[in-house]
Amino acid sequence: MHLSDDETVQSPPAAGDRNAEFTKFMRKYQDMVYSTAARLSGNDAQAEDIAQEVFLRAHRRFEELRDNPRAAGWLKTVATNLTFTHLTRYRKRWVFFSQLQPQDEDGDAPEHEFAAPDSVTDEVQDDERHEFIEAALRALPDHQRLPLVLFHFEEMPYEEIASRLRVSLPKVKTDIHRARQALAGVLARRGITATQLEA
Amino acid sequence: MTPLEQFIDGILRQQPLRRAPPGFEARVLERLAQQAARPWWLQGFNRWPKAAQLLFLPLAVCFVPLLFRAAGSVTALLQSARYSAPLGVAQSAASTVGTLGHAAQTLGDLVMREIPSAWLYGGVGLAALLYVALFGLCAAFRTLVLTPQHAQY
Repeated sequence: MHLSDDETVQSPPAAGDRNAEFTKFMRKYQDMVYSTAARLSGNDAQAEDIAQEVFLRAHRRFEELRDNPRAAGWLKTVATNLTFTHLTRYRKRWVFFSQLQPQDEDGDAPEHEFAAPDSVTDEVQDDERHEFIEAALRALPDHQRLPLVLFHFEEMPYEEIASRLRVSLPKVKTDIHRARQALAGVLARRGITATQLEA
Repeated sequence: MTPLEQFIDGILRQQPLRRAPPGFEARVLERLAQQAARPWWLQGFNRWPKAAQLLFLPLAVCFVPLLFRAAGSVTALLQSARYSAPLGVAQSAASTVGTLGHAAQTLGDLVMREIPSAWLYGGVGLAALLYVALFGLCAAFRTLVLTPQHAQY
């Protein structure tokens, strides 16, 4: 069966069992859908709206999705596409505002600062570290966070990222490299290094 | 894979999924209930009953001539109001519309009579040429100025 995110399918009338099954389905995938939208958009409120829209669409196609092993992939694709649509819709607005922000010598936006918890120790607890990394990702400028997330979380190749973002391949590579550098710098200041990761 | 790439890849791959907000599930279910409670004619066309979908197209096709006929009736009514009973505001509005229409018609006649047709065709051709040139300039601007290297996303 072929699943595409823009097809519409007539759904049968809602029944109690169907709703219960859909709730189960949603519980299974909601964190994945929300994570995808949140990491790509860098905005939790927008991510919640996007994730809601994904599940509203999934509900329309639930007969096809409920037992489909490709449901997770479909949900992820729809979440990615909707986030892209959302970002494209506001693209002109944020290009305008990004041009108002001061740029450094390399043409990069200045590194964003975000509040780190007070308890900075050598041994950072896992939960705290995960939260810190998510915050560091959110703090990256859009043009760095997007390709980085697509490459490392969505495992999208450089060429596809360039095509999706409609930018050149060298720019994608440069942005991802700078995003990694920025992230590594923030993590290093927090005491998270390659050595600690291996340990 | 460079050490930096390896390090960041390792860090990000260890990240667990982010938890959806606590009220998320309830929010989606509430939205679904709201959608289900809406009458069918307020829902998307694809969710209309099949019979309504099938009836809609011929009705829509019939609606267009009906709309024209209704517009004609309203115009006739306004015209008759103009010459018969005084209807206050409606009469004055009809009169204004009539005057404007008459002025436009006079101007059109004047243009057609006084300006040589070769000039008119030339003007239309020039306008079309400028319109095409505008598209060309936009395309050139996109290609030369908004190259991928400069584009932001």
